[in-house]
Amino acid sequence: MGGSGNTRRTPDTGCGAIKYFIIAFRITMSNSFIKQKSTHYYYMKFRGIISVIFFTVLITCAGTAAAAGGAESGVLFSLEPVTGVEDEYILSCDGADGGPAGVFGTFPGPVSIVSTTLPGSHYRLNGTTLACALIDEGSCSLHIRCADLQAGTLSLSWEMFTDGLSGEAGISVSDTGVVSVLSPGETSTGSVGNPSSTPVQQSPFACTLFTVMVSLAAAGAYAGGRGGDSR
Amino acid sequence: MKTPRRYQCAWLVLLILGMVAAGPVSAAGTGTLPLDANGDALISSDELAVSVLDYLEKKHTGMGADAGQYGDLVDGAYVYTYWNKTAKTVLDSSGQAVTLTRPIRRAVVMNGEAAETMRSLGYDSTNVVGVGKYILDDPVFFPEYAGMPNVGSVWSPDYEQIISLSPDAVFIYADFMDSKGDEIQETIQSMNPAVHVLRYDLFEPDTYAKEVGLLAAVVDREDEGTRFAAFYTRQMDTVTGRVAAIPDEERVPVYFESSDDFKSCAKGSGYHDKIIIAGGQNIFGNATPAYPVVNPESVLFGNPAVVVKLQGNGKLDFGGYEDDDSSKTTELYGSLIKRPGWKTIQAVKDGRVHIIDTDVFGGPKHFIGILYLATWFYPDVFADVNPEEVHQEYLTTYQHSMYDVTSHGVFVYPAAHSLDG
Repeated sequence: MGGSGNTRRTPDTGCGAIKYFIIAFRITMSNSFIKQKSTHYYYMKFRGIISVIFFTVLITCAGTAAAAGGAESGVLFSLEPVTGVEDEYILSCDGADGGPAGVFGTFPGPVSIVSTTLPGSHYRLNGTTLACALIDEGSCSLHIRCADLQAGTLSLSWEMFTDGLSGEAGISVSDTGVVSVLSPGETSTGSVGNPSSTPVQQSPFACTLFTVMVSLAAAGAYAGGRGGDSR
Repeated sequence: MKTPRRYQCAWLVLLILGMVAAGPVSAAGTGTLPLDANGDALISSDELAVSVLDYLEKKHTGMGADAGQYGDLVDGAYVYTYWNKTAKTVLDSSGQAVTLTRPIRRAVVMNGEAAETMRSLGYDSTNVVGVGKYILDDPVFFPEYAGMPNVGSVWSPDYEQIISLSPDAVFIYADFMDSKGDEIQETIQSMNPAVHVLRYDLFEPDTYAKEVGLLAAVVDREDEGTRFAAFYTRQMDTVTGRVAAIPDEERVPVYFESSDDFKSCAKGSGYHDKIIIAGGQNIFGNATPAYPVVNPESVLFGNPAVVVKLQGNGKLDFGGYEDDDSSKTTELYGSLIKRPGWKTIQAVKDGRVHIIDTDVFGGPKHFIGILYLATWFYPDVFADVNPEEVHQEYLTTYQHSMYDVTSHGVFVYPAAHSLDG
């Protein structure tokens, strides 16, 4: 395994990963392009680079998935304006699967409930505040009316009573009706009719691109560390 | 939209709840189910919801929810979620049926066996608010309890200290202390009837697996209890299954000696039971009392094929987890085989004199000691059994300990690898 014993490796002078990709590509396309002795060496080096990239991506993706899973624990909120009806919104809460939970919202002005999936005894309105108890449901939806919500911010907090988890979020509606879901330290903008949830998730594509770049750098370092070519 | 009448009802329920909450609320179980406003022994969804809403309003309107109210809410949510909305009745080893209306969040643990087994069950040690003297005396094995309030020894509890800790439950021995256990329980409950006193021995091979199940139910770790009991039973079955095939007349004659010279064991003692489980024939099994001091000549006359000497307590208080230096054990071993006349004993001739530490022979770890005995009594039958590996698995997997038995502690002598050599 590894490089053939008849190839002597000398220190490389800064070959990058791209160079090795090009070389590997050439090997793949035409073995006759490079002498057989070098071909085997480059082939093995190519395998090493690919292994580094593969495992780096794999580990990073696993870590990202785990982190995302952790971030998603807890109650998530979304707010969606009701189409064609002024000042009415659908407020949704999801993720209270960890047991009985409470949600408390403070609106910028008086709020009323048009309809909800919650039993009547499981929520309480008091002017500008709304308290909800999620007992047997992991999610709920409330059709609300709040004239002051446009160009205002709805502050939300949640708490689970069996595991002690709690969190906060904010949802603001601009004067043009754009809904933005905010969480402490993080900001994410959404658009009307397409509510987002907190906490904000990083784009998977951006994450993958970043990971690939890191992998390429690692592969370059690997190649450099393994020595130069067999010229 | 809700009607004003429904709000009136809600406020009425709140009023009732407030009256209930105004009563004595402590960490210790009061015997009533939290949040059970209508007293039907069930926490309903609406009862829990009222409590949640009341708590949220108080918290977010600056009134502030008091600790008692929050404690009731959290306990009620727990009961609602994990106990099917009602109280949970559990059993202890003394035959008591105890009804828990709340999870045990403040435990006082008097005996090390209970503390060790709770750890095997994954019980959160931060729920333990006080421990017995002997647990505190063993910081190597129980580092998590260092500095914790001392509630005295199992024989002489510090009752004032126990009550001052406002425990939900106090764990003491079941039968080990006979009437002393009853006295301790009565004293504690006379000082605070709301404190549950739960009793488990957790050191006897005959009952250990069952007791693990009972304790697991008390601390709500049933799945962990099942897994750990399966591990324990597997080790014990390894011994009993193979020993069962050995005819009585082929059982190995064994001389067991405690840390006191020539103090052996007989029927009615735990040591004797462990020898029998491991397939040995105790040469003083029929002696009286249960821990007889035997005549040195009778040991020569008995001519045991295996000698087992106990260290780790009494005059031989060395070895075990706290001791990495085996020099005293080595010295003990040398003095044993040089006893007058012992060179004629078959065990000495065959190099089958063994020292075992009480750390792996008593308490919940008795199964490790029994595995050692079995491998000493029948090396061919148990050639594939490595007690040291089982010991490490127990510590790593069930005790969640980083302790490495291959580089620390003195548990047996000669060590297995030196015998192999």
